[in-house]
Amino acid sequence: MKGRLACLISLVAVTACADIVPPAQREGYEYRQILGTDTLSFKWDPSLLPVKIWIADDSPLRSHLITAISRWEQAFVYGEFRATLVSDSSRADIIVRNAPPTSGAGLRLAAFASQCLGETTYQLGSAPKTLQLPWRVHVWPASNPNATGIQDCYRITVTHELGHALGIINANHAGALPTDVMYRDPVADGLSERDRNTIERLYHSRTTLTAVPRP
Amino acid sequence: MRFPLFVILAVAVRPSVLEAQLTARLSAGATMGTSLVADAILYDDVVALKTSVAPTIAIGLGYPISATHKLLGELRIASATLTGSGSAGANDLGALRTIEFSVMAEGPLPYHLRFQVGGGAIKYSPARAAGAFLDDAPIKPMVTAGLAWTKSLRPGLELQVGGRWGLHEFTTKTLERRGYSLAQRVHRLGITLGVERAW
Ligand SMILES: [Zn+2]
Repeated sequence: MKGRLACLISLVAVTACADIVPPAQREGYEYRQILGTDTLSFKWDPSLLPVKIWIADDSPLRSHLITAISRWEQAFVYGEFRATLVSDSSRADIIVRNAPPTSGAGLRLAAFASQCLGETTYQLGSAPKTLQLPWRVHVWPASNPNATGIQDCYRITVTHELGHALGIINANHAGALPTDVMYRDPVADGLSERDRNTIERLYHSRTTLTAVPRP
Repeated sequence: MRFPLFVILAVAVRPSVLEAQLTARLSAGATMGTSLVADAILYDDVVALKTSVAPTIAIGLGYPISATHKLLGELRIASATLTGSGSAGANDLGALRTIEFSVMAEGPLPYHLRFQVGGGAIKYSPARAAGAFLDDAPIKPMVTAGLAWTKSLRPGLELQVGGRWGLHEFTTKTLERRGYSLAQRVHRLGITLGVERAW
């Protein structure tokens, strides 16, 4: 029995090495928006999860939105973002439409792919350092709604616009490369390592804006 | 006076002799574990991956290897919930089941106690492939040790109160792909109440 005990103790000693070590700062791009002397940055607080997203049942973007949600959820290790589709647009935190925006209100973040266009808008709240929900995402055909490749364009652009609504709000897409889905003219059909690094850094850094729920 | 005291102590701590019989045991209780990722610095944040206290069931078979010792094979299933946390708060990552299989040597101790030492493997089984478990649900080798207090209910049937400790190293393919290095030492402590039947 002593031999077995010694064996166990030595096994414990071998096992008792250092704990897990997270990655050091890794390559990404700018996610903050500089507005005058203010630096704006935003992330979804855990108390607001799952984020409620509305899209019309018959929208051609619906399946692409489901893909985009899954892509961004999978970018996180600690469950920092989760979203669910809701049937009532008046309760939604993010509203997604397959149409161009009708008003120019709010801060605009655009995307220019070849067959379709995208724009995401948000509004600052009346109180300082607040963001008034909801976010509004628009993705629409550049000309022909049945153009070849438009489904791919929708999928890429919805993923891009949802990235804005997660908090990548730099309007110039500064530092994003063509291999990143957050490039200004997005062509990458999925998240790159740099997209994942950027969103991870955002969700583990301090932000300046707090979301104000809809009245 | 020293001699009688020694005799009293010797009698008191003399191990009870187990009967060399095939046994089966069933027990239930709870398991708690240290964090799968513990207070690690990620950018400007302190992050952790934690499991809740988990309802646990265990079944075991004992095979006599001597007059006093037996070889014990045990399957232990615990169902916890997993949360990821940072300075902003905690995020629910759903249910996380663990399945442990261990082979241990069991022998007698004084005061109706028995010790167990051995090893085996722990399999993580999350309800959904997400977060750190996106790419895989790993199986890890573990060492284990335990203590059981027993009380005879009638011939061939025993009540057992057990405490079990286990240690393994945790990481996943997802964590490695995301740049995490080395592995987290995870200690687990289980407490169970059960019965053992002997033949
Ligand atoms: Zn954009």
